[in-house]
Amino acid sequence: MASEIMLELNGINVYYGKMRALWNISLNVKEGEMVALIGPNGAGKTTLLNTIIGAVQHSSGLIKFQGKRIDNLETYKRIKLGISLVPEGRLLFPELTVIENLIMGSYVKRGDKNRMLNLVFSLFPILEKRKNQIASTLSGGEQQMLAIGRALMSNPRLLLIDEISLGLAPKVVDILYKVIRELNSSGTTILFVDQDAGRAIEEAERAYILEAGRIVLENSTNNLSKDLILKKYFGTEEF
Amino acid sequence: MIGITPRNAMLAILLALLVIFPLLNVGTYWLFILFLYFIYFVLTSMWNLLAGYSGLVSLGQPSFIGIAAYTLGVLLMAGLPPYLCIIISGVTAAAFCFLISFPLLRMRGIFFAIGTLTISEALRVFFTNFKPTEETAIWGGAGIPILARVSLTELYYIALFICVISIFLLRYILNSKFGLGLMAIRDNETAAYSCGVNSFKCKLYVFVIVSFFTGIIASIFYLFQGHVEPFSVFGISWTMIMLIAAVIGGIGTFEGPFIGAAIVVFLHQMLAKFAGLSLIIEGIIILVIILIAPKGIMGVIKRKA
Amino acid sequence: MVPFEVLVGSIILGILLGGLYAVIGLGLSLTFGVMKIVNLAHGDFLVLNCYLAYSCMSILGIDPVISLLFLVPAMFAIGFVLQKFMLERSLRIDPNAPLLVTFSISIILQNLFLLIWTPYSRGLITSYSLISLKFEPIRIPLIYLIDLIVALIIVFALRAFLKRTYLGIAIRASSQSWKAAHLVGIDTLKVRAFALGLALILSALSGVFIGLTLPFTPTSGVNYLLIAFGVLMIGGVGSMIGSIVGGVIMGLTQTLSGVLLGAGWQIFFSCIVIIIALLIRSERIVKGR
Repeated sequence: MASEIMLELNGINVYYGKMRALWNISLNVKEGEMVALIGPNGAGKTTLLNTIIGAVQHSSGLIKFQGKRIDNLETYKRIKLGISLVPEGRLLFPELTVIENLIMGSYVKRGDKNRMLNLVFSLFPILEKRKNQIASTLSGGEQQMLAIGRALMSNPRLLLIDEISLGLAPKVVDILYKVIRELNSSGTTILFVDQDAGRAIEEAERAYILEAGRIVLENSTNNLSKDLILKKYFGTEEF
Repeated sequence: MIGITPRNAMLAILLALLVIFPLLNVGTYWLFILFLYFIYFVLTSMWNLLAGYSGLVSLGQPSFIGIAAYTLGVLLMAGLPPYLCIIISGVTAAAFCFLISFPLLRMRGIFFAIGTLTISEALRVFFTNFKPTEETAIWGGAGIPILARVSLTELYYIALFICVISIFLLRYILNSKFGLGLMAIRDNETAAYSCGVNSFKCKLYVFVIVSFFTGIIASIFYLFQGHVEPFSVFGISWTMIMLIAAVIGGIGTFEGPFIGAAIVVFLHQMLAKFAGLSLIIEGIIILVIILIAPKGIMGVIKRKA
Repeated sequence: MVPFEVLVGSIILGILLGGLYAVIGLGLSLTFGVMKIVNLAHGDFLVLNCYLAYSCMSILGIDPVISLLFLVPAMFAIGFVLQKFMLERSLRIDPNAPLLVTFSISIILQNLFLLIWTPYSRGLITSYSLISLKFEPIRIPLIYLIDLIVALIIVFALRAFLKRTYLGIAIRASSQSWKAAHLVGIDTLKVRAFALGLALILSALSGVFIGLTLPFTPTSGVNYLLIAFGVLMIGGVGSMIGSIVGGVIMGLTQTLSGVLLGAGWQIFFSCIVIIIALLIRSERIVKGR
């Protein structure tokens, strides 16, 4: 399969003040892939996703989306091109209703609003049921669904998801992954982060392991075993 | 204590000059100018301590000025000696401050500013409409005369004295744990709180101290002025003086008020003939400085260093 | 004591005036909600419109309501530019800097009014602003009824804008989480500038009708700023119903204190209401946002 490279990072460095958060990150995600980004706390996974969407400034390196350079573009332009981020902590608009939150997701791409709304409601029927409810009154799982739904409203070709399962019950996580798999099989490229490394490896076809701001391993998930990952986390074995 | 450094020696000489100054017979005009400078300086450095160092932007300092001035007038009418009146006026202002602190200090920045402004306006309107006796009505609103004749020279020395005390106090506070706590509160109140800084107590202390000195220096000024009227004592012009002096000099700096107060005294004398225009010009100056050189003159100097 | 009809009349006028006062409060609420800035010159911008309408009337003979046709876009432009070029910069310097900036603007405006239009109180007097309607012993100036109707129209229009348009929802969204707003591609700077422009439009609309209803002087701005505070404190940020309740309370405070104690005391009682509301709210505000 000669899949197009959808997302490419080359030598990305990010500093928070004097502290270096990302060291020369290079990775790529091919069209239609479902790729996991795993690593211990503070490794820089959130920083990485935020850099891709443009919420965080990088100091050097390139980001290319579908062959076009995007690292010099504003966030809204990247959204327009087809990238969307489901952020860590969901970052919903707490006092807006479910449907208002979703509408905000289509702020940059208004033409598809109704179509995407139908899609989101068909993927997450509970959101339609609660569409006039204030976002902050939803349960954790529903909020995550809303966050994903909002990110989908801009009809992204590449969906970035930060911390899919954080703080959620296993049953809810199952539902979420089911929806994400559905999205992936209908063509959406997914790059996601999950604290639950084991689950992430199960769901993804390829994984990057990030540690202290560096990529320490990249492989197809067939070749990665849970034991190996755990050993890496606890640092008892060098790769 | 205070070491013998070249800098301190220069300051001591400066102080000596200021003390000798009235004896040089340079004329009442210049005596008045320096007197005004001391007044503006204390007001400004106190406001700066609140806003610049503690993050409490008070738009209601006139409350303390007015309360102190009225206390002064009333006590003088009752026959008490001027020096005692000055002290009691300061205490009264501080007591009022203590009272309003409990609700006010619980509020966040913007609401604190609104609260202080509201109280100040309330007092102004109250005293403008409150006409308890025939005498007060003569002066327009609740205006009262200051029944004491203290010479400008004497007032000059009193003001200078308060000035020097406030400088030492400021120096002491800023170099102490208390001062550190204040600045921590200014920068991030939640973080300060979690470090064990009792933010309410700190803010209360600084607010009361500031109001005390504000009250004292206001009494000294109105002893010179000779009469107390609501629109004068509770007027927004006092706030403008503190604001413009602090901003020009450099908010949150120690040296800022020294420079700022001098510039404001100078400005006031220059703009005296353009009565209507002067406040407009001062407003424009504040805007320009905040937008172009937000750290004021001290900021520019420190950048060059 | 005050005759009964006068008292009842005051109560009715206070309620009618409450509509406009709610609009004044909403303007302040917009900027505060979106930017956490209190525009201390809010009342003075309102009075600016009174004076501009006054001059339009006295020099060009244009009815104040007609002059809104260019006051509204002019005010929007001023608000937009003010936010974009002055307040944004000052926000970056220090969260308290906008207070000082708007305070200075307030002083500048008040003294400009003094210089150009003298301290004498003025009013927008037209053929319809003097008509009184008689209901048995009570007389109600027609303008107060017009004020209420206009205010309600404005409130409903504003509500529709904030709930049904992309920009309106974006304004509310930005006030809740600018991070999230940035993430969905909202240009938060433009939103803030638009919000201030909108707030000034509200002050233009309310200004003209206030000018038709009550006399104004160069320092009237402070009075309206305090009224706006009161509405904001009582009604909360962004609540339409809250603002109307707040507006009515402030209106009643004004008219009743004016009639029972005299015009000079009105501001004092506005202040008392604000202080009480601040006391009640301070708990919630300190814990909440």
